[in-house]
Amino acid sequence: MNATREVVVLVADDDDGHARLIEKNLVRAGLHNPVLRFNNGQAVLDFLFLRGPGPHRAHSKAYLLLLDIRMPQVDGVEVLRQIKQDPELKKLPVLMLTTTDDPREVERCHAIGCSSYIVKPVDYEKFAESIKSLGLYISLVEVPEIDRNPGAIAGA
Amino acid sequence: MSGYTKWSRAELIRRLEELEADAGAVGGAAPAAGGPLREDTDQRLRAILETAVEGIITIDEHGLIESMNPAAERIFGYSLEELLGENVSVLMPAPYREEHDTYLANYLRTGQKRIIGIGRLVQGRRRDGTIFPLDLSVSEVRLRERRLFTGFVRDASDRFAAQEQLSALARALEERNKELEAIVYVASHDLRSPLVNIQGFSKELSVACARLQAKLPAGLVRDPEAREVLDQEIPEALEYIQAGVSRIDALLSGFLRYSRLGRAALNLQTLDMNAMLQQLLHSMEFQIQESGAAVELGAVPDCVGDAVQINQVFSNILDNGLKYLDPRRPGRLAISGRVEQGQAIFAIRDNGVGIAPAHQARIFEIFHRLNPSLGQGEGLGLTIAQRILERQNGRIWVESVPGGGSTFYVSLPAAGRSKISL
Repeated sequence: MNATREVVVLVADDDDGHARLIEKNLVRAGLHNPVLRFNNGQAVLDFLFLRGPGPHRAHSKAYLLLLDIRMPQVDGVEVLRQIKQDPELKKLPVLMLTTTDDPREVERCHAIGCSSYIVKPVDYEKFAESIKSLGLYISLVEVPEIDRNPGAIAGA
Repeated sequence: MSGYTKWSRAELIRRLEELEADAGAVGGAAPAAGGPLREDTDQRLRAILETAVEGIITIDEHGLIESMNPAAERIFGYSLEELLGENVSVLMPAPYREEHDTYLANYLRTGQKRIIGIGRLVQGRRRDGTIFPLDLSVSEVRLRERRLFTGFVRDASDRFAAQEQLSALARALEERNKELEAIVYVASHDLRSPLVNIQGFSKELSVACARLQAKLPAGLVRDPEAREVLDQEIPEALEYIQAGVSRIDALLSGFLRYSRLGRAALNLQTLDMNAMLQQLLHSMEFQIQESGAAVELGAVPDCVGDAVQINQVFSNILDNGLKYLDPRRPGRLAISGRVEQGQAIFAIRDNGVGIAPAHQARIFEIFHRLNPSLGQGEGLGLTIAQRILERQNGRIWVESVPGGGSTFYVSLPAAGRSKISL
C-alpha cells in the first residue's frame, strides 16, 4: 500500500455552512487534500456503493469520510452502519462530526465502529481546533485502499 | 317492609338464643333467657343490621345464603327472597363462581384460610349481570353444632373509578412529560446547528476584516468614514453577534443537560457522604480560595442515591453559596447532616446575601438568576439539583434571611445503617 497517496476527504453534511467551515479550517490547518462534498446520506452511500447516476468512488484512490449524524432521509448513523457491514468498505476511516455530545449517541457510533467522534462546538476556536487535530489525524492515518475488485457489488 | 325483616327477626332470635346458650356453655354469666332485656337486644341488633351502610350477608357451611341486610340487597340488586337458600356464588362472576364451593370445602377440610379474617378487593356480580369491584371481609361464627360465615361487603366502584382516573391521568402526564423532554432535546439540538454557522461565519468575517486592515494600512485609506467602518463599526457589530451566540449556546447547552437528566439511567447505591463531600471540597479548592470563604464540613450521614448526580447537587449548591457571599463580611459555609425518620438531611449554611421571601420559590425555576451581573451561570444549578432529587426520592428546600444568609436543605433516603445518630 502506498501510504503517501493523496487522500480524498469526503464530507457528508446537509448544512452548506458547516461544510464550508470544515473546508476552510482544513485548509487553514494546512491540509490541501481534495474535498468532495455530499449533502445527504443517500448521496454518499451511492458514491461508496457505486450506485445511481452520480459520481462513484475510484478504486485507485484512498478516502476518508467526515460524517454528520443528523441528515434528512438517511442519517449518519445509518450510513455508518451500512459502511461497517460491508466487508470491503468497513476499512474506510469514518469520523463522526456532530453538534451533540450526547453520551448515548457517542457510544452508539463507537459500537458500530466509527474511527473517531468530533463534536462541532459553537465556540469557533474549539471548532477550528477540532478540525486541526482532525487534519493531523488525516495526515497521519494510513488510509487503506478499498477493494480493487468490487465484483461483489458491481451492477448493483 | 320486606319479607326480609320478618324472616330476619325470627332468625336473629334463634341465633341470639344459640349465642347465649354458647356463652353459657363456656361458663360465662348467661343472662336470663327471655324477658325485656333480650327483647331490647334483639331490637338493637336488628336496627344495627338494617341501617348498616355495609352490606352484610351470612351463609352456612355449604355456601347457602341465610340472611342479607338491606344494604347488601341494594348493592347486588337482589331481594333476600330471591336469594334465600341460594348458593352465594350467584353473587360472583366466573371463574370465582365455579371455584367458591371448592374454596369452602377446602377450608372446612383443611382449616386453611384464604379470605376469612382478612379483607380484600374482589369482584361482585349484580342481578343485571354487571360485574363490579367489591371490598369483602369475611368472619366466621362458630355455633354449638354448626358454623356460619358473615360477609361484609362494600361497593368499591366509585373508589375504583377514581383510582382508574387518577392513574390514567398520571400516565397521560408522564407521557406529556416525556414528549416535552423530547421537544426540548430536539429543539436545542437543531438550534445549535444554525448557531455553528452564525458563530463560525462571524468569526470568518472578523478574520476577513483583520486581513483588510492589514492590506489597507492607515496611510492608504484617508477617508475617515471608511476608516471608522473598518476599525470600529464592523468589529463592534461582530463582537455583539458573538456575545449573543455564546449566550444562546449556553442556554441551549443548559436545556440539553436538563432534558438529558430525565433520561439518564440511575445507579442507586449507598453513598459515603463524608468522603464524597471531602472530595468535592477538594476539587473546588481553587474556587473556595478565590472567594476567600471558610468552609466547614461536619459529620454527615450516608444516604442512598446516584453518586454522579448527587455530587452534582452538592456542587451546584456550594457553587451558589460561594457566588452569593456578602462582600461586606468574611464568607462562611458550613455543611452538616442528620437522620430524621429514615431521611438523611443535609444542611448547607452560608452567611451570604440571602434571598428575599418573594424570590425563595423562584430560585428553583429554570433559567432564573438571582443576580445576573454575578458571574457566568446559566440559572440552571438549582433547577438541575431539584430535578435530580425528584427522581431519587429526595427533596431540596431553602430557609433564608435577606442580608443574613441562606441554608439549603437536601433530603435523601438514609443508608440502611447510618454511621451517625444525633
